Amino acid sequence: MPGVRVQHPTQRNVRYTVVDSRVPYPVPYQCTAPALGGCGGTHLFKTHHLNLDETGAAIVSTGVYERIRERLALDGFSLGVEVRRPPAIGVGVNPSKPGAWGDIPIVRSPSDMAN
Amino acid sequence: MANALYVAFRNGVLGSHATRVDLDADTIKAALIDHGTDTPAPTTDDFYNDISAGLVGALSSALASKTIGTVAAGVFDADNVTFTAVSGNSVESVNLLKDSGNSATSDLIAYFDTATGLPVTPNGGDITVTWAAGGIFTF
Repeated sequence: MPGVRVQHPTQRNVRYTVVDSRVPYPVPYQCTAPALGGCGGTHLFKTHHLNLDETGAAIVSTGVYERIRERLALDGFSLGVEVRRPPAIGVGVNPSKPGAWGDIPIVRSPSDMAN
Repeated sequence: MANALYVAFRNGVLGSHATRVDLDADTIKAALIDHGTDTPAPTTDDFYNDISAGLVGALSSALASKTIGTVAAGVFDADNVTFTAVSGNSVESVNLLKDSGNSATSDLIAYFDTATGLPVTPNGGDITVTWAAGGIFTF
């Protein structure tokens, strides 16, 4: 299963942030600016940013899915739809240029805020 | 942090490091690194075994069409690199290294944590790293 589609019931066109509080960063991670692909914050625990599209969906790898699926389920995501051929992702080492998703709203998982 | 050349690589160019990198002749590869497992330290890490625990997926194929001083004076450049069907954890940085075949002797070269699309959450598909038009780095 190359990729897994997850879908939030209400959030649309946001960068959804899920923190895995079981995994501390060895060194705090200074996330890139929202325009590049991050949230601009400093993370103490392993953080995953999901760019939710206009339907509230994102595709994640099986490696990411296994790590955060319980959290996603708590947040109301629909889970587990296999995507056989996920689209390619681009990373550009040219920070003056905004990322494909641009400066979209950052949303934190309610489960994270409860911790 | 910010994009940087590894200090050990810089010192190696000047002759103070045990091994030296020949960007033209050596096999240069890229690595996607999960900082939750192993955060690179460009000022102190010197060989790939310092960060290899954080590798997501596999090393890239060898950088192709390398040029030195062609884009501009002192600039190293190469073709963009694609990681195929990346299925692992989220990635915070892209790193360049000389692949000697032994992680304990594979010099770390460059660290990129500030780029469009980083951090990246893999989706199981390919991840293509596009270098800046002005080259990968200037020495």
